[in-house]
Amino acid sequence: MSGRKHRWGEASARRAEELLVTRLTEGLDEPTAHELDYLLRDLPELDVESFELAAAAVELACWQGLESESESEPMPLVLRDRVIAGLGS
Amino acid sequence: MSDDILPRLAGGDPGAAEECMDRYGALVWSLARRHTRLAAEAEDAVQEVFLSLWKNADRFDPSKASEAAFITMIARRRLIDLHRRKERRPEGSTVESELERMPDFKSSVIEYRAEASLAARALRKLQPKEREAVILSVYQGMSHSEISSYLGLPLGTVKTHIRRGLKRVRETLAGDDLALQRAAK
Repeated sequence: MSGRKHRWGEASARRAEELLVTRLTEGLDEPTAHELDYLLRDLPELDVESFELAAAAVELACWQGLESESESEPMPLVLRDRVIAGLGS
Repeated sequence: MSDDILPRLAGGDPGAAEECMDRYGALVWSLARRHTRLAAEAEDAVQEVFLSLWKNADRFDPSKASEAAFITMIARRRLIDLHRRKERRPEGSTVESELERMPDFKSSVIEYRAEASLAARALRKLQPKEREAVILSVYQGMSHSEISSYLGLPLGTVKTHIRRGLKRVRETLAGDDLALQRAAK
């Protein structure tokens, strides 16, 4: 009985990881997002943010490579000013 | 002493907004350009990302991540929310060229480069198909189905590659290396 419970726990943890990775790479539809929320309620030990930070680090690694080759496109000044103005309002 | 901007932003420092834009504007703009099709969409996305950053600035915890990684995480969340249903295709660069571009960061002095360096190292240790799947998904914004077609792999295999690859990066970031680099600062 406890073996079956353990296997179910492993399966739900794996499913939660799969959905988590899908959420942070291409997003989830509403029913699947609910499924993930449901699974995460029983998995408090799963550090959701650490997966997001891993993806952010990959993003930074690739972007840094681009920046070091001076191919990184600067943000338009007009947009910069518009964002700052929007934040102040 | 930390030169992080987000705590000052959360504290209402009037100069922090412009400083944040100047330091991270190019990063957020680059992310927005890759996750949107049109420049106009990217401009709207950048505005939303910075608004979201302003709202979440007080959640930044420097013991968990660098400021750049936190900002990238918030930006990715917002961009994926905004464009979840839109098909995206990579333009220009290839996975191979992204890997070649990743610097070694041997003389890194900025903290966020430590995370990028560790991520690059973790990626290099992955199997080639795993590495390609992670970069195509995370950096080039391809959907899992698109990656499946592009690499000629079953969809389930692509999902497994991405999950395993990100877990490896996550484990590397959680290891002692980053803590040591931070402590050495």
